[in-house]
Amino acid sequence: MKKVLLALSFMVMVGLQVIAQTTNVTGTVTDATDGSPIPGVSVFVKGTTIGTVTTPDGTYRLAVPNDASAIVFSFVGMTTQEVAYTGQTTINAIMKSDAVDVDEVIVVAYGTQRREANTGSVAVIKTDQIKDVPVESVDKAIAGKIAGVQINSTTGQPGAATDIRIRGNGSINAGKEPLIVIDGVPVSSGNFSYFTSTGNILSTINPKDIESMTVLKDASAASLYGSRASNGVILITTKSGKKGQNRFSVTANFGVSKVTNDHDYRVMTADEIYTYKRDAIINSGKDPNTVEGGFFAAETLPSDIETYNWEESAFRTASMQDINFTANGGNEDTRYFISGGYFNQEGIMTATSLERYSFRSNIDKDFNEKFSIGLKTQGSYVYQKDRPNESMYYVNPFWASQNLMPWDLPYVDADGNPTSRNTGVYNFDLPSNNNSNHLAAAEYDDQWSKQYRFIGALSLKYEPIKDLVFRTTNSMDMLFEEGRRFWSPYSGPPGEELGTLQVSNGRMQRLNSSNIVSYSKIFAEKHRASAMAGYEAMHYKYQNHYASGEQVGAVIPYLSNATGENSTVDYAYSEYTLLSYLGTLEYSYDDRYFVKGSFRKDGNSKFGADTRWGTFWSVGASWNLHNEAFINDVPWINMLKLRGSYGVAGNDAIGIYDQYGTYASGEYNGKTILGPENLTNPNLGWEMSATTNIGLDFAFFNKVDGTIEVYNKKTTDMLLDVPISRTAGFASLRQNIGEMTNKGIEVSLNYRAVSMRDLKVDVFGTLAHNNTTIDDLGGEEEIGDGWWRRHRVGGDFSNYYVYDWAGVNPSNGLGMWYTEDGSMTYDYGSARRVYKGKVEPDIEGGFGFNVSYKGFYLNTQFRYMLGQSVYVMESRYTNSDGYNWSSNQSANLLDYWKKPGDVTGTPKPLMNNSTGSNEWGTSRFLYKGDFVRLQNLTFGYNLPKIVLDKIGVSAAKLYVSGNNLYSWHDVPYYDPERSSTGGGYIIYPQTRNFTFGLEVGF
Amino acid sequence: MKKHISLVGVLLAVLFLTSCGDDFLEKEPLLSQSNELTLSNFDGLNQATMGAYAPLYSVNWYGAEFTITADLKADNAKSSPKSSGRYQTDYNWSQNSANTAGLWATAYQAITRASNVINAIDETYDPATEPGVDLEEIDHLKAEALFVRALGHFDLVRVYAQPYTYQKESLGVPVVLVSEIGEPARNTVAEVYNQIVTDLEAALPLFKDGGIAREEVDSKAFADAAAAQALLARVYLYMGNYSKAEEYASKVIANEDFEIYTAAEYGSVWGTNGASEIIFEVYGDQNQSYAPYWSEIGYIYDPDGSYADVCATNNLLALYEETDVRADVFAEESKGNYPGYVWPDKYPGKDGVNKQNNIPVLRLSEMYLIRCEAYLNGEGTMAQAVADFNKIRANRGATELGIITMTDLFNERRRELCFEGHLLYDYARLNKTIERVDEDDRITGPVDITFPGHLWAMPIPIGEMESNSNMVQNEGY
Repeated sequence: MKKVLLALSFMVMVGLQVIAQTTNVTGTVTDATDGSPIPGVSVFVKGTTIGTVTTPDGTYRLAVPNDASAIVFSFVGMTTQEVAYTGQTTINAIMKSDAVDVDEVIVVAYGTQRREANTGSVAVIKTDQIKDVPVESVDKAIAGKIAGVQINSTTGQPGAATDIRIRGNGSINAGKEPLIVIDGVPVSSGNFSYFTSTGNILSTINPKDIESMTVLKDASAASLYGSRASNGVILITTKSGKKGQNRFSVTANFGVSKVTNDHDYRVMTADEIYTYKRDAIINSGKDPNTVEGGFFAAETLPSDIETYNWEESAFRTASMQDINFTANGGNEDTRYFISGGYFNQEGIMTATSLERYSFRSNIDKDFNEKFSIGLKTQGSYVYQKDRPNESMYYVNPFWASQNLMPWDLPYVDADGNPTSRNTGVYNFDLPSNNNSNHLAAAEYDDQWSKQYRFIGALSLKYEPIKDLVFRTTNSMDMLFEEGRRFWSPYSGPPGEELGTLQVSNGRMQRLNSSNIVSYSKIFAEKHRASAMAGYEAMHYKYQNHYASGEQVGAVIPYLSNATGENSTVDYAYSEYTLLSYLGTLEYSYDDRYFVKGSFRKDGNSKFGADTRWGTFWSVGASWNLHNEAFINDVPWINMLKLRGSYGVAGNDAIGIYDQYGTYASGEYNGKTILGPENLTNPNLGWEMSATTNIGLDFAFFNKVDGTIEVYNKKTTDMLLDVPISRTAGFASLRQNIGEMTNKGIEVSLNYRAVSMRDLKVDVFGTLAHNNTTIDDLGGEEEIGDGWWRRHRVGGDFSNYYVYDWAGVNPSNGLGMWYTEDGSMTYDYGSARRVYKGKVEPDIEGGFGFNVSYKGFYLNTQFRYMLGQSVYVMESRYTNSDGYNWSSNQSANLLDYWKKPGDVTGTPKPLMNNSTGSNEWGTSRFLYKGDFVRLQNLTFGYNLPKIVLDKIGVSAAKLYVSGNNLYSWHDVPYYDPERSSTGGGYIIYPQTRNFTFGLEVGF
Repeated sequence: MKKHISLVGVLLAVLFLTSCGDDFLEKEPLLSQSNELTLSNFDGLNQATMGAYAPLYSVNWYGAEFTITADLKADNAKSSPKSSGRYQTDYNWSQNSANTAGLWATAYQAITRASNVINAIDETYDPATEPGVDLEEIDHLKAEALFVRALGHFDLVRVYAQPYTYQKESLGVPVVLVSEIGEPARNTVAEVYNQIVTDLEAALPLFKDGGIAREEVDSKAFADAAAAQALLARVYLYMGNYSKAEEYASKVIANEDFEIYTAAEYGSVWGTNGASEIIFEVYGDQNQSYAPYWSEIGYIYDPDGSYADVCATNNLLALYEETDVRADVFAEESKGNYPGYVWPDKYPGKDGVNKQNNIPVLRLSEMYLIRCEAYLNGEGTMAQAVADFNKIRANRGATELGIITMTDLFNERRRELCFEGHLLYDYARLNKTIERVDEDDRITGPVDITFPGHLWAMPIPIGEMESNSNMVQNEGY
């Protein structure tokens, strides 16, 4: 709250306007649908900060300067209206809902465009749709909101990477992620942190600074980004200053999060695992009833035994704070938007967190009618704390919680006896977890990344004659990363005083210069034409220093204190450049017929001299049927637009130096040697994708609007490792040889079910079906995709290829497998491998409804993915039927076979089970990954004007928001969501968050 | 004025960028050295030359398979009762193009590494850019690379082709002198041997006396003139050119750097670096590039290791007299679980690690045996032959003989050179049928390997067949 008060005190400095020579204008603003007056509409004199808002009866009174040109009426959810001022004293306005706002301007590649003129597949998300969602990066906020944009959180950790797939996977060996463009400047994306399990530099961008996001899905929309466009493009536009009064806002969110666990997954209790193991002893032919047998175990666990809940120790209830301040305003020639933010999200896993400080300043200045300048800058600091997640390290809290026995106790008392009481002294006699205590590691070990990111873009605009615009935008995106990992001696048994320290320091730098000239002209009223030509250069550099030291004292745990001999230093460096020429031509007639063509030529240093330059282009056309005379008379059709486009884009997301023949060092005879590491590959070229897109946009009855699109995206020249004659010294060479097709359909619908002044109900939904087919693998029929998946010609993008589990024999409780000939065997080695399930969903999307009544509102967002399978790899150990003998087991095993005739999917336990029932790559642990999630539910209240006036603020809102509230799924584990590859170990589960938010505007 | 300034600014920006041109798009890797940079200076050439030796230690070559199979397929060794299945294909001669010898790809890696050095020195290296560089050392690097390239071609043609002494005009292996992506056809056996001799004879005058001071662990794991001479002696022996074989063997024998092992030291020379007889050996270390780890020859031959797949045959053991110290270089399983079986002990490990061993490639005893064979084949007298023969036997605690036959010599080669990768190729070059003794009734393939026959040339690997349209498979596969 201190921060809020600070912001409030800052508000005192609001300036006042002095006005002279005015006329009082009055009027009423009404709703077009029912004629009711609308309160709270902002009414202002165009081009000034002079304004007011309508009263509860919809009226206003405004002192208008005599030289004013127009009065502007604006209201959220309604089309902004402008009425020319010619000295009237009464001006009434009728506001229309903006559901079918065809004049809306959207951000597209290299500029903006009227939605009316769009020819490509473009989806827009506005700040209102994401601002209440309490997440650290904007990619997570848009999950499920855009048809055809699949966003998988790879883990539930704060700062975790997401896999973003626009219209499916578009490549096997090159990148699959879209290009991210912020305010017209392509920026770096991905993971730049050195020691953390996961990372995502999108978390350095404050989502609260974002005004809108545009996703470019097809070639007509995206091809202008040429060699980087084949996986789609996400344009992020940050908020900018608006003419008018200085406006301030403070938002504060406080929240808690817990692990998602809708199936109440858990490990066994003490009694359960005890009985399970005792049964295993009996099943193995040993006698637990006699001491002489060597396997004595009483029938039940002693009742007074002390136990500890290790799962609770790994998963905590975590807190979250997100506090933002913005200032925004401007006058005739200067506009500004300034923000500051603080975000701190604890992870649900002990010792994980993400903390961010950020600021942004977007300034626009018009020097005169012809010349203006703009500077957008943002700085941020992100501190991500981590544990060895997504790995089978015994100090990974999640993994430890699965292994540790309930009677293993975390601490020791003064007498050296184990206890669950926190004595501050850890117990390391924990054979079930390899004698590691994750609580000690969480306290003493370090594993973190600190990232400092600065993005700045300076643009100059010069308009020598009307509509001829020269614009140069020069930008830098810089990221500094500092990483540390300290393996403290104190996180292990006492006696050791020296640990191992690793540190890293990295720097990413991306300079971009974009120089564009554009001209547009309307002639003979009905003809609109525009042309744009441009020139761009990009220079990317990355370097990293790494050092490690052994025998570092725990008291001063820094490298200066390393005494071991095995200290190492390393250095990484890479650099690439891009040079581009681009242009567009657009023409439209009478707002009915639109054609657009784009062209880009990219030169890229990742490719050799012969393949360096690539040409990318698109053509698109659209037909606005609603502007045709024959439809204009159909009253229920508000909008009907048919679009079609075709174009080609490229994929440059390959290794920066893949074309070069290089030597790398090795060792022989005690000497450092050099041997060829990479074969010279001068023919290495782009992967190309050619996309056909047909779309229909519609709005009917002033109630329903939506888009239906079908597409066919053919990827050719796909990079694959092709075997070559071994006489070259190498077995294969990466060649542009494969082909793949993504076909799909996308539907998004909005329904304004109720649209009254006080009560509004909107229902929305998106559905996307994408089908990836591999057409050519360079002559191979199939190639591996990790250990347990394969790409197949004619198959899906990637199918699981697993040993075929046949269940449990009811007569003896042993697990069985199908063999090649369809018979059953107990021998894993004789099991057949079969294709089962796929990693991509058949259908994914979202739906929900938004209700508002007076000041109250309720927004919901569901998200679903259907048709994909997930493979829970750690089940080999957590569902091991006795194989992982010393460790605790999943309670999923409790339905294990107990007597002949039992029909169950879980084999009987055996001591040190060697039957292979828990083996790798098995269909036993492959699950249908379908889920429907209640992704977000927000309930809020906008304080009424009458209250606002009393407390002297212009807007105030209170809300509660819940994320990941519930998921419907069949995966017998914490959470159904995995990365886009469907596999992985010990994945940090998703989290359920509850936040309370407050937003105040001045 | 303002408008002019801004226009000029925009134009300048465009001009600046236009001037970037194609140079702007040249970004070579700074850290992984480019081929050009690596091969442009002495340090790079030196490291690249040392790098050409590294594949020799591969599991496919001296590090295990190549060395082991030469004895296993020819009855010096057999599949052991401990075997968990490794080397069954070789033991049973059931080779096909999918399971054939892995040497192909590995040897061509060494050959291309060597060729890169040779071609760079011949064509692109400019000593003027390195004032003070010792040109003799540059020559020495080229000589070493020529040696490695010759050894690579020699071992390839021994494995994948019929012996020179049987059908020298039959298909050998592609002679590869340039590192490039291509589809080379097979040269004849004679052409391959011709290139081997050319490379080795070209190398001889280029070696610098004393070599290059590298501070390596084992100086004998880098080639010198003696190594090239010794290899030439063997190559000529394989060509049936006894005169040249004698000439080069004599040069090495005359070299005072090498001394024959004495009977007293014979048991302790294994597992040491650069023993007195060694002319050239492969250096083994589990941390170096191409280390075979658990598949290393020492691990396969260690009766107490968990693999121990290959042990010695009784008919080899039967060749030794009781006093012969060579009969002691065998080991039994220490728990006594396998009575009647012994494993070779020439690879006892180094520094207490059983999976890192040096593998002798060329040593003095072989030179005596080569020269002895040359003498027996018309290049000298019986007395000369017997003298060389007895030179070895005298130092092994074996009875000296007064007159010898080729059979005596053949058996002496088995006794002396067993498990060093010779026997199979001795049978081949002598065009002899292998008459195996199926001691444990465990051979599932042919027991006797009749010469001639298609089995004497291993099949070309399927991966090469599928990616090289000019490649012709050996007959019978």
